[in-house]
Amino acid sequence: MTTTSGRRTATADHHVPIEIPAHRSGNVAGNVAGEVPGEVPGEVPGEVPGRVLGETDPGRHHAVDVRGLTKRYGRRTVVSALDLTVPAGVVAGFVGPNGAGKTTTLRMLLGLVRPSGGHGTVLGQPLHAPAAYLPRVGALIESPALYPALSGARNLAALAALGGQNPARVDGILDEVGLTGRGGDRVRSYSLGMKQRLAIGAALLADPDLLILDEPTNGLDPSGIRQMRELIRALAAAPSSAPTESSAPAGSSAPAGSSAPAGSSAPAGSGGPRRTRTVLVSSHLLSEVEQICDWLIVVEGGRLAYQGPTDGLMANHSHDVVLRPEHDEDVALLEDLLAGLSVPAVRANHEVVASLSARPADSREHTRLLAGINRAAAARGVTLIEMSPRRLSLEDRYQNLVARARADAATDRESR
Amino acid sequence: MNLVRAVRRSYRAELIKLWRPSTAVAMAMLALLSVLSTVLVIGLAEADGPTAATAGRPAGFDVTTGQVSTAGGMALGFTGGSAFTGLLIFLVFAITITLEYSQGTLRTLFLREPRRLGWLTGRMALLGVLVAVALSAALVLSVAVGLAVASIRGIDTSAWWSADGVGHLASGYLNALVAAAFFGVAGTVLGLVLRSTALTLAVGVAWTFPIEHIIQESWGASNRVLPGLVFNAIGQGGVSDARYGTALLVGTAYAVGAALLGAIALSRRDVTA
Repeated sequence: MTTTSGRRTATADHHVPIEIPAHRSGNVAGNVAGEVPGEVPGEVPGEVPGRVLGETDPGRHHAVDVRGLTKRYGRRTVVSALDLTVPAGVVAGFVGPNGAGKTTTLRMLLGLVRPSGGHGTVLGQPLHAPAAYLPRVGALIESPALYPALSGARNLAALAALGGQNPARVDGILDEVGLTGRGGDRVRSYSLGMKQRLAIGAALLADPDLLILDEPTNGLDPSGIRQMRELIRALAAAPSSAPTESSAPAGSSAPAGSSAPAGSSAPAGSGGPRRTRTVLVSSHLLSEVEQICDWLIVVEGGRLAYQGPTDGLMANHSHDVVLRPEHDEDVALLEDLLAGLSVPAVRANHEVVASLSARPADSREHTRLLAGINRAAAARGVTLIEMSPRRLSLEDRYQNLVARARADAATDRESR
Repeated sequence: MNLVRAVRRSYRAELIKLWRPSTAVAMAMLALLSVLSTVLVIGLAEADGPTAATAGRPAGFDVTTGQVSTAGGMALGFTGGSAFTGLLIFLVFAITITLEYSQGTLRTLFLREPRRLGWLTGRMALLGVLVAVALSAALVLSVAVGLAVASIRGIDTSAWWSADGVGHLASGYLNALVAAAFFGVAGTVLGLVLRSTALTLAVGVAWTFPIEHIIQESWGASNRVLPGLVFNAIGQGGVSDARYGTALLVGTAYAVGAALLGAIALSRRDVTA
């Protein structure tokens, strides 16, 4: 994984790189989309709700690629036919409201919970054979689960022994997660932030190709959240190194036709093969996800609401345009004028949000509509000092997706 | 092969976890229970000589000084405490396994070693070794204290050092070890099934002590049937209404059945803790 000019290059395998747009840096102000204010959003160009966007070619190796993942407890379906794809090398955010099925999904990927249905692969190995891929996966699920009576270093040493990793890595790991000097102290004396970092350290013991972090910022203060964010960024930027004893499990083999594991990249440096690390972070803190993730998966009620590049969700597909007159008293006049043009509009404090019938993608029609409004305003003596696309925050988009997913689920229930 | 590797790694990991003062405290408690049993058995032994009727009586607190002075007297105190040590081992095994659930560490372990049965086997192997070491220490202490108490009471211990006496001691140790292993399996499996420390201890202790002993009062065959009493009979080398061979057979059946149940519970159930 490299960082070049604000774009991360994620490699699904070392032959075919996938370009993952950086955090919204590519968003073009001025894009217009057509969501009517207050309405549950409609379709977005290039986005198939609940489906993978075009950047993930079918058949390509992904860090996670599962289909129809389902978990039922009795008559209650917690995760419903989830199709999940995480390209190798991305930092993927896994978001959804409480009870959306995030943790259950992650537990299924990690072999802790047995799926009721579904199939697929994790790091190129079958989902139903977690022993084949878990040696290359590091995970922190929910709260850090450590032995409070043991020191941080002893906790890591025990887990290293269990996973077949070199215990000499422990000191380096403690250093990597910022616990140098505290490794000898009992875990019960650690703050929550330190426990979280130690648990991430435990996840790093295997030098994983896939790092799964479930709510890593839970319970942390703002400073701790910031430190965690920086740690995750650093972990994502650092490729994993040569396979250890455990990362090439006996009896496991790469899929036919592929000698390289998912996430492999060309050798770099003198330390043997370097592999791309994929990070999957579950969180309900959208601001965190927005800042660190370049791939986004949104679930609601156990169903997939969106997955694709964060940029794809953040791209301004809105039909809405903000029109601001020079004088506040012209706002009412502008609103009337738009009504006369049959353009739906909502009046705000000092501006009017107009919903055009064309999106920025339809540039000719979009330009024609804007020009028409501008001319009509000028003819009525209203000078527009701003005509800009209405920007939606990730939270707006997320809320819309969740609302739509809920509406779809309700429709499904009614149809049954 | 992978399973063997998992067992080996689990053994090493558990050794790192258990290499701490609290483990030594638990082992010392086990040894002290044996010492206490020895003091009580020999110190409270009735002062009449051995008779044909009492010579074959089982070890317990109804022991005579004549029995203590026989070749098997050296092991009487040690084996007489098998019920106590069995209960302690049951508690320790049950608490340690249920703590893995309540602390959530089981999921951390299974993320590193998904072969759950391999992990459990390695863990049980290490615990078994620790119990064997603790029982060895208990045996040595028990003999030392037994000699001291016998000396105070003026009981002749010359027969203890005969080949027969050493044989009794060795078989007493093995019986105690087998009983301890069975109690350990029972505690672990109950913990795996119930996944709650409080519930496991409540059910286990209630069953092993009040319930089994109430039944024992009214049902003569209970020593050959009820698991706690059967394990206890094994530890004592057989009791009056449960011969050693019968107890060992029934106890082994219980242990194997419990191990299967535990294996299914651990490998099939979701880890949601």
